Amino acid sequence: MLTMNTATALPAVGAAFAASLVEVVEAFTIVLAVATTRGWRVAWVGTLTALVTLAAGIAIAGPALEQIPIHGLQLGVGVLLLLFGLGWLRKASLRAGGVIAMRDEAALYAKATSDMAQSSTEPSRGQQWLGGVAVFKAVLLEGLEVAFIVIAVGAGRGLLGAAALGALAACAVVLAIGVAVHRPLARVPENTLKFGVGVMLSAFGVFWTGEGLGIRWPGGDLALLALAMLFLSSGWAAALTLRAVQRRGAVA
Amino acid sequence: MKLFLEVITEFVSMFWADAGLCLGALGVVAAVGISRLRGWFGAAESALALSIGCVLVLWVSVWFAHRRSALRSPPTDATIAGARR
Repeated sequence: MLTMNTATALPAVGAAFAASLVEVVEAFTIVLAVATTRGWRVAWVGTLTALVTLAAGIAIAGPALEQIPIHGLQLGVGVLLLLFGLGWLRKASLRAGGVIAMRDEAALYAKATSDMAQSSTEPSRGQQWLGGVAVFKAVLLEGLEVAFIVIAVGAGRGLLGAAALGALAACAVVLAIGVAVHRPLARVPENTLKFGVGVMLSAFGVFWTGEGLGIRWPGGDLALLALAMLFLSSGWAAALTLRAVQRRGAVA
Repeated sequence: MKLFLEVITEFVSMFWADAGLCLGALGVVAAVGISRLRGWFGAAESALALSIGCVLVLWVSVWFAHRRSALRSPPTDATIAGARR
């Protein structure tokens, strides 16, 4: 039986919380855009349908995970985490280095609402339904990412429940703030979060891939912290180098 | 059903957008796994190769993304000079 250790439990819950925060903020922007142009009822129906679909998928796939041998599971989730983590870290480094633009929730919200408002001033039932479909797709896609991250972060060490709690807490925070302010959460430092989550997911990914391959990490679970430091400094170095290159290119 | 397929396609395309990074990371994992199975690498060498390999894949991917973006949008001076010509 695998034991829960603070050195892995806290980063796992933290990573699940932060990753879910980023994804839920992205989904909330679409939900809000549809709600303000097509009505809250359509937005709620789209959101709830997506959440029920997601829950059904997890309920079916979840027990299957327990049948997989632990080394195979660690290798599988480790590789999945690596792909997610390196992808997030790459994007965050490129944004921090000024190569690609920062994500702007306010601008995305404005574009989504203007796109929908342009189609008709008085939306027909069909257009309202299309708004619901857009919400369903956005929530299902972002929710799928959250589910993968929660499974990947939690399954390797029996932390599925803790990671799921982290994700639920993120949903609750975004919903509470979103319902209160009725605006897209543009002030959430999305890229900083993405950078941090990319670092944690990459560290977990390398750690569990290694364990899946039968590697005994020096220092045991504490190797996770060393790996996190390695990816943090690597991502930072990449972003700083890109900034310097961009600056030199602008001067030349 | 079509909706589900669209969502799954979008989900997979996220990885496809970073295909080089994904293939590089999978290559590192495969190389370390084979080296470990064949007994070429011990635990310490495997741990080191896995960690450093993934960092190198990240750097190479970031650098290629930078190069691609530089090729897509040449420096402003060059663009202005090109327009004058």
